[in-house]
Amino acid sequence: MKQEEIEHLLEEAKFYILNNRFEEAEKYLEKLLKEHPQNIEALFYMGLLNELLNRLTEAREYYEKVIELSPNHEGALEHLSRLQGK
Amino acid sequence: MQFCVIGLGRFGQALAVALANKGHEVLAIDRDEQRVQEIEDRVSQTFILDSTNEKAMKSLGLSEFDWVIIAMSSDLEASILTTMIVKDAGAKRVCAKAATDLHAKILKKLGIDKVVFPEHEMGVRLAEILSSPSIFQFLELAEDYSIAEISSPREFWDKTIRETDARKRYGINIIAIKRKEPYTDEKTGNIDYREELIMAPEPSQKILQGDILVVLGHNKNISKLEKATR
Repeated sequence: MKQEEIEHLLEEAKFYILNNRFEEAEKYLEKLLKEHPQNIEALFYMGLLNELLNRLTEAREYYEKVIELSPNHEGALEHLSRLQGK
Repeated sequence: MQFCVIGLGRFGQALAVALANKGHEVLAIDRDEQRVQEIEDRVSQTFILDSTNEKAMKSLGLSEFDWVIIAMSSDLEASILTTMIVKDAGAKRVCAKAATDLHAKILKKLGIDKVVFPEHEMGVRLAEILSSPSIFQFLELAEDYSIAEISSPREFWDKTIRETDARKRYGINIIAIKRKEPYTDEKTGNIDYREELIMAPEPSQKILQGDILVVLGHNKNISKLEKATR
């Protein structure tokens, strides 16, 4: 997948997340992750949209994956600590 | 209001301090000096006193209090004796904590105004929350009726409350909506969200993906709605 296409898919996903269309966003991210399973931004947004859809176990798993690949990822660290105790 | 809390275990201490924090006058009693010392700075007045000592208890003027709460439950005999003494001393309203079903029955027979069963109630609540990933809070209101926080089922998405016909189809009332509003964080460029609470929503209020519905209804109906979220 070309960089251009990756960016396009991420932009589409973000657009849908911002408009509360989380399941639609998920389709774009899944398409991206199928070819680039370690794309950090896509993994982070998968975490976020699962959190937005109240699927907290899945959200935690995505954030943990992000931190595994990028231990200082501020967003994932913050969201994961927010989910603690929930 | 004036409260008297008898028995300062974890439950009694938490109750006494919470009441005092709400600005009420609280007299806290236990026979154990250390327990009394632990909260003496946080409530209006404390006494080290054996609550089964009838004479000492009657000198407290228990009839002046709005509520007398008997917060000990592990010693059944002490709980029952204290209850009788408190009722006899003319307390207006009495609430007591029960440890077992039998204990609760005895307390009710003694004419207690309110019997609480915190371990049991918390257990029921936790069972509901843990056994269903889409229920986030559960509060039993009366026998068989509860308030629950539940993820909005797909069939409700993009419909108004009126259109969902939730009251007829599921027998539940939506009393609030917890919504997460995504926005772009200008500093980082990342998307984050803020939480919004829509209280007593109008029938024209739309339900969105990811909304958490605060619903009131019969437990059977809540569980029917929960099944629809799967």
